[in-house]
Amino acid sequence: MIDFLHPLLGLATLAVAIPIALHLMRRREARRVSFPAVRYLRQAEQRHAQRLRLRYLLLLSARLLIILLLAVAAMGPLLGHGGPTDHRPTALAIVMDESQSASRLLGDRRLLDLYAERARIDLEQATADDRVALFSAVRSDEAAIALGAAAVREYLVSLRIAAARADLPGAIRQAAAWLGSERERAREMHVFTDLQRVSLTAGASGPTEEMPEVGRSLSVIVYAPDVATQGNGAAGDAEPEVAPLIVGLQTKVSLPLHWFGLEMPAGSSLVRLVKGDDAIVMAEAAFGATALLSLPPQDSGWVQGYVEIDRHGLAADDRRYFTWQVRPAPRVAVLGDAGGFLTHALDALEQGGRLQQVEPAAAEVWLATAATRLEAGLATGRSVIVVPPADPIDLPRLNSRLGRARVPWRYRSEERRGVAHLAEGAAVAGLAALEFRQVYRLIPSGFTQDTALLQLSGAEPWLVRGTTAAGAAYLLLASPLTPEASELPVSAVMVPFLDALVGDWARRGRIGPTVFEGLAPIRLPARADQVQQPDGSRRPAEGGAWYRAAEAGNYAVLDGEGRIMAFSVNAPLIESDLTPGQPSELERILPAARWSWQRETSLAGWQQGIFRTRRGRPAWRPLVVLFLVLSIGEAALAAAGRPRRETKRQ
Amino acid sequence: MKSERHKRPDLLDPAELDDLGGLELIARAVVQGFVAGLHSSPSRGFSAEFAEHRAYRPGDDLRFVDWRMYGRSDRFFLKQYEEETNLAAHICLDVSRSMDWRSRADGLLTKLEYGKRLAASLTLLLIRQGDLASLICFAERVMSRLPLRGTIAHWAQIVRQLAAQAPGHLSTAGQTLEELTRAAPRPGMVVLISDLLVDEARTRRALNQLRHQGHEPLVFHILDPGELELSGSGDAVFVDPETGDEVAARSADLRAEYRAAVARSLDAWRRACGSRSIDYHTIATDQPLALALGECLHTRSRLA
Repeated sequence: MIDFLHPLLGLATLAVAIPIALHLMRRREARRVSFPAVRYLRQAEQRHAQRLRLRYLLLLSARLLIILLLAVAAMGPLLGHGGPTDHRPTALAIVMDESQSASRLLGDRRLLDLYAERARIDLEQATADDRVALFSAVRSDEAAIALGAAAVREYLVSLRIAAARADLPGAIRQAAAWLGSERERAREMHVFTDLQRVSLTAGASGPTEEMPEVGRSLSVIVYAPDVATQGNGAAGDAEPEVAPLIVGLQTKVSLPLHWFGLEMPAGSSLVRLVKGDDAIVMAEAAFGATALLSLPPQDSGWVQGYVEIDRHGLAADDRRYFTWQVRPAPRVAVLGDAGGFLTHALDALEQGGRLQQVEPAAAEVWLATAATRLEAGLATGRSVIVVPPADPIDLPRLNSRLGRARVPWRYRSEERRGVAHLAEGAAVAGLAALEFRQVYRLIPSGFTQDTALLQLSGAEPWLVRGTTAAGAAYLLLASPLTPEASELPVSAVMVPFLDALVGDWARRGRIGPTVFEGLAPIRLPARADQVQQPDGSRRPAEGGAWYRAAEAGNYAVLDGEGRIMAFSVNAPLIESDLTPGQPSELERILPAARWSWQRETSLAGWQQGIFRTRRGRPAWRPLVVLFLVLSIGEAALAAAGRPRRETKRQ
Repeated sequence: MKSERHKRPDLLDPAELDDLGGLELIARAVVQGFVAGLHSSPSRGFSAEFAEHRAYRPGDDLRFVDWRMYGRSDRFFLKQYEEETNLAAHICLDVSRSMDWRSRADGLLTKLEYGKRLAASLTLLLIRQGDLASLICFAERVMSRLPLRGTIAHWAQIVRQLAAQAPGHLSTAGQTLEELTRAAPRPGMVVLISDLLVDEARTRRALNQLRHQGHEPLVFHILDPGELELSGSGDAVFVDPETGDEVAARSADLRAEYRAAVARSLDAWRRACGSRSIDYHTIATDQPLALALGECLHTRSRLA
C-alpha cells in the first residue's frame, strides 16, 4: 500500500517531459556539418550505434527516474499500513445521540459512557491536521456544538443525558453540511446512537429532507451497540386538576402511566409524589391508567418535586419532575352588569375557594362588562378583563376607553355567517366544542406583542392578553358572555374557563408553563441573574434572555435576593418508546448510494475502522538510497560518454 | 635546417605559399626549391646521359651517329642514351565536391587546392625533365582534359586550366581511369590525385588494368587532417557534400571507431595497391609538397 502526503505535487512528475524534450530538441537542433568522409563515419556509427543507443537509453532512463524520484519524494510517499494516527488530514464529524434512551445500560455501563469512550478514541487518533466537530442529535437545529478537538474533548467531559427529543436525521444533515465545506480533507462521520426508531424518524424535524451533497465520498461509521429491547414503562406529566394552585386548597394531581412495547405488566405500579426528600403522597395504578393523587394544601410559593413509579425498563423515564406555583385566591370585582350566568359561576368559584369577590377598590382583577373606568384600573396596576357588550352600538365607546387606556386593540363588529368555534388545543378542556354565535373582530391598532391565548379555528384571536408598561395585564374577549352570544355561559366549561381567566391568565406576574421539554426555550424574568441547576449548582444567566435547559430536573431562577421563578424539565414522552429502528430506516437517512457506511460495535473494530484513509510511514530512506544509486549510475554513464583526454601526440 | 626550410617553398606548409602569388608562381617556386634541394641533377638519367652504342639500322636518325667511332672503326654506331623517348605522364586530378573541403578555414588548403598545386608542380617537374604531361580533371565525368605535351607553354596551359577548374559533383575515378586505359595505350605514368572517396572497387579495378597495360600508376591519397581525426565533441549532423548522406553523431562518441574506420580504409588501399606494385601515398594537406614530388620522382626513376 502506498500513499502520499502531498499528492498534488505529483504534477511535478510532468517534469519528466523536460529531459525527453531536451533529448529530442538537441537531436533536432544539432549543427549540420559538411563532412566528405561520411562513409567512415557511417562505418563507425554502425559499429558504435548499438552501444550508443543503449547508453542513451540508460542515460535518459536514469534522468527520468531521478526526476520521477524527486517528484515522488516531494509528494511525500508513505509505504505500508501505518498506525492509527497515520491518516490523511481528515474532517471528522461526531454525531452524538445523548437523548434519554442513551441512559440504558449495556452490562454495567451506560450507552452514553460508551459513546464518550469511543469518541475519546477518535480524539486520541486525531492529529493536528484533522478538524473535529461535534453535532448533537438533541440540538439538531444548531450547527456544530463543539468545534475543534479541545472543545469536543471538553464537551465529552461534561456530557449529560439530555431530556430532549433526538433528531438523528437533523444532526446528520448538519454534520454533512459541515463536511461538505471541508473539501481539502478526507471526510468521516462517526454516529453514536442506539438506533431508537423515534430518533430515526424525521418527524422530529419535519418532513424528510434530502441530505446535502457532500461532494466526494463520505465514510460513515455508526456505533450502535446491540441493546436488549423490552417493554418500557414511563410516568407521564403530573398535572394538578386546576392551576394555579391556591393557597390552602387541597388539589387532585393526575399522573398517567404509559407503557411502550408488548407485554404490558398485569399488576399495578406504586406511584409516589416526592417533595423535597419526602414522599408526601402515594398511590397505585396500572399502566395505561391514570393515578390520582391528593396533594395536600400548600403554602404560597413554588412547589417542586417529582412523581415516581416503580422501575420498568428505562429508569430515567420512571420519574417526572414538576413545578407548580401556589398563589392566594385572586380578589375579583365585576364592573357593570355581570348577568346571571357569570354571577353564578363567580359564586361557585368563590364557594370553592378559588377566588374572592370584593369591592373594586380592593380587587386585583376587574371583570369589566361595561366600558367604564378601564384606564383607571390599569393605571392602578390591576388586571382588567374586558367582556364586550352584547349590543354593537356600545363598541365605539368601548374602543374609545381602550384608546384612552393605551390598549392597542379595537373591537369591530362584522357580519358573520354561521357559528364559530375555538381552535383545538385550548387550555380549558371542552372549549373547542362550544358554538360562538356573536364574535367581534379584535383588530390591533398599532404594533403589539400581545398574546392570543385563545383563537378561533380560523386563527382569528378570541382572547388576547397583554400588559401595560406598568405591568398591568389586560384580557380582551371577542364574545359577550351571554347565552345569546355563545354556548359558553350555559355550559359546564364556564366555571373552569372563568377560573383560568381570573385565577391564571389575568394574574399580574403570570408565569405561564412551568414544565418544559429539554432544550425548549424558556424566557427568564428580567431580574434573573442565575439559574440553579438540578444538582444544586448555579449558573449565571441573563435576565430577559432565552434559556435552554437540557438535563431533566427542577430548576430555580434567582435574582440577588432569592427565587423568582422555577421550572421543571422532562424528556418528551415519545423518548420512552425504545423500539429499535430498522436498517432500512437508517439507510434512508444515510444515502447509501453516495455515502459508504458501516456499523461497528466492538472496541477493536472501532479502533481499526475509524480514520479509513490510513497511510504508511514516510519512505524517505529507500528513496535516498535509490536516488544515490541512480545519481551515481547517471554520472558514470555520462562520464563514459565524454571524450577521453587524448594522450599527447608524439 | 630551419633556414633551408625557409628558403625552399617545397618544404613549406602549402598554405603558407599563398603569398607567392598565383598557382603558376607557386608551382614554379615549389619545383625550383625541390630541384635545388636535390644533390644531383634530376636530368642525370635523361636524354643527356649516354648509355651504350648500337649498330646503325637504316632509318635511324643520323644526328645520333657517333662519328668518332666511325673514324676509329669505320662502322656506324649510334649513341644510345638512357632515355631515348620522353615519358608520358597522365595527371588525373579529382575535382569532385568532396575535394573542395577543408576542416578549418585558417592555415589549411582544401584538398582540391592542394591537389591543384601538386598537379601543377608535378607537371612542371616532369616537363622540365623532358617528359610529356597531360591533365585530366574529373568529377562525375571528365571535366577537362589537356593532351600530352612537353613544353613550358603546355604547362602554362595546364596551370590555367587548373586555376579555372571549378569543383564538380560526384567522383568517378574508376570510370576516368578506365577511359584513360582505352585512350592511352602507350605505357606511362598515371598519377591519380584524389581523396579516394570514390567507388573503391571500380577504382581499384581500373588501377589494376592500367598496371596490367604497363602503366605505372601513382596514387596520391589526399587527406585533410580533419578527416584523419574526428574533431569536436558535441552532437552534429554530418552531411556528405556529394551524396547528401547524413549521419547524426556525437564526435566524442565516435572518435575511436572513426579513427579505426579510416585506418582500415587506408590499409585496404595500401594493401590493394601494394599487391599490384602500385605506388600509393597518403598526403595530408598540411604536408609540404616536396614529399609528393619526391615520391613522384622516385616512381619516375623506376620507370626510367
